[in-house]
Amino acid sequence: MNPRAGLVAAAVVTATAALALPWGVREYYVQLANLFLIGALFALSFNVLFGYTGLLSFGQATFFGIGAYALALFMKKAGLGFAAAFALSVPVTALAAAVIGFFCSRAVEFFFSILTLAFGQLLFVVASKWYTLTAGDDGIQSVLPPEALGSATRYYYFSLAVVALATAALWWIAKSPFGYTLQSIRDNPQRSEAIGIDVRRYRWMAFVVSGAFAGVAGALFTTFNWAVAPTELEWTKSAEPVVMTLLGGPHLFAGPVIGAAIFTFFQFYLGKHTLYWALTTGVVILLVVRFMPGGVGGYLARWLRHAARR
Amino acid sequence: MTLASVINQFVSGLTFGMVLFLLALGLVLIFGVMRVVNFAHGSLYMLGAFLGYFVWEALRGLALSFWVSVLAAGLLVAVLGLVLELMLRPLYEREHSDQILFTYGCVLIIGDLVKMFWGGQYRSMPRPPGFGGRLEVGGVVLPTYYLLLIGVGVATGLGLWLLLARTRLGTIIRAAVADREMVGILGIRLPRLFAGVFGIGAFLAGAAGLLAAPLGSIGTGMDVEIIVAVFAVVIVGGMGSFLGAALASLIIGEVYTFGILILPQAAQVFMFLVMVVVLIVRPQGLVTVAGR
Repeated sequence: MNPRAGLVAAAVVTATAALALPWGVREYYVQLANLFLIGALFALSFNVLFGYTGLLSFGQATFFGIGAYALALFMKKAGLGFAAAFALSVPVTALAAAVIGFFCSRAVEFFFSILTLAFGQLLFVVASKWYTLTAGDDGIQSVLPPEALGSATRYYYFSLAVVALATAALWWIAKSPFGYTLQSIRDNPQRSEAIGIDVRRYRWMAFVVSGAFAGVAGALFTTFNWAVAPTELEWTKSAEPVVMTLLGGPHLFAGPVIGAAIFTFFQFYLGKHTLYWALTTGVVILLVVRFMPGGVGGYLARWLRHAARR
Repeated sequence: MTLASVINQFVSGLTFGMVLFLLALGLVLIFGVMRVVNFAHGSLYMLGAFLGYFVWEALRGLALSFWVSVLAAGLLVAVLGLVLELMLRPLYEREHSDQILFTYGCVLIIGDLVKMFWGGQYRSMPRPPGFGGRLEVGGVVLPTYYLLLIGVGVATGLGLWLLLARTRLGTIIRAAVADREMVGILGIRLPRLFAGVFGIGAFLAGAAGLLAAPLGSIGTGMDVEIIVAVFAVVIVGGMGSFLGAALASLIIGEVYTFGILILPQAAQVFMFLVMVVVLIVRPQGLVTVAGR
């Protein structure tokens, strides 16, 4: 079988499995699959910056959290319906990403990582201390999806549709001239500047795109979880897309998705509420960086290339 | 606000600034020589506070127990720093992001281990005997421990300056900051130099952790809290210079401490304002080193 046909077959199988899933398994697993979808989109958004632009963000949860809070606030404080709130929370997140990205995109390499971590911490402090708006550490409770999406299965299909659309959009972006410009900046910023690319502006735009998609993931999470709390903005939350992407492989478009699948499996296997989740994440990061650079996706890509040559 | 209370606040800002300075020194030193930003520097600080506290508790009542535990905190954390450096070695030839990710993973691991073993309760460290009181000068009340910390900060800064400017090791370090390949070619053992530098930085972070403990309390979460402040310092001061680190530590310390008066819940906001202004006006930081 040639690799292209193999990929198409894999895609068809995955799509069928994704659509048929709620008929085959218990509700708990539908919830788990939903969590995987949200995680996959979160990690894909992170990889716009890391894998495609060469910027390592330690503050991706900032935009996940802003999207999550925006949806909750639009519904609970502004009294908007779910659809309007969802539609509005994305531009709001993009706007926040534009402001924060304006500063962060002035820095590269470690400075970029430092700044994203720092801004994330700022937003976390604001969310946990601004009681009148965010209810502080308690978070905003009972943010329910509309009745049409009231069951686990229905919400799963909603997530599946949103994440599939968002993934298609990200794929399209990655393969567009814009996406290739980002990759040229990643590979050689000096040369990109020399051939007339406004590197800083492109980094900024990548930041906004990345933030907006993280916001979609966050908004999906709020009504999945029925609540949002400052932990969604915490720096340990930012470690999730990092470890997912490293596991799956940053140099493959689907890498973060593979990583999210492994991560979600671990979460299920070790128990969602294992107390020492950060410890596990940290150990996995160390091991992958040291012994498996390129992640699972790296092996997969090598195997595909190998198969294509035969 | 009276002049006296402004001076009080200024002195506590100076004290906090000194703590930041001790951390920024190590961060800048490690970065200068090894080109690695140690995200785990705040975690080393937190470990210093906890480990030093336990040593102090074990020695309770003995004369000089505080000072012994400061030294112990520094040394224990320095040993850990050497271990981290050893684990970091295979990554020196890799991309910068791999090294950052390594130290970031350490933040997650150390943070959770501390939570696992000692989490849940806050611990408070009394001021050492002889420094529990306060000086009153014309309405200005100065806790003697603050003055002590300021003295320690200044002494450490001067000591490190002497080390760098006047000793053979200092010359090697400065040469390595300028061009470490060349230093290696000249026959200096780089691995040993790297280990030494990481050890010094870790020692300062660990000792700072315990020295700062009597100012507040020891608890989980102090790692990220302090590292964000130290990052603000290196962004404002510029990553490459000790002078910048000193200047920015004082600025950030003062801004934070006066910020508490205005917005007690979220004084960090002011730190960020300074950082953001510097990023716009002088993205390379206040102090830059010529030729880089």
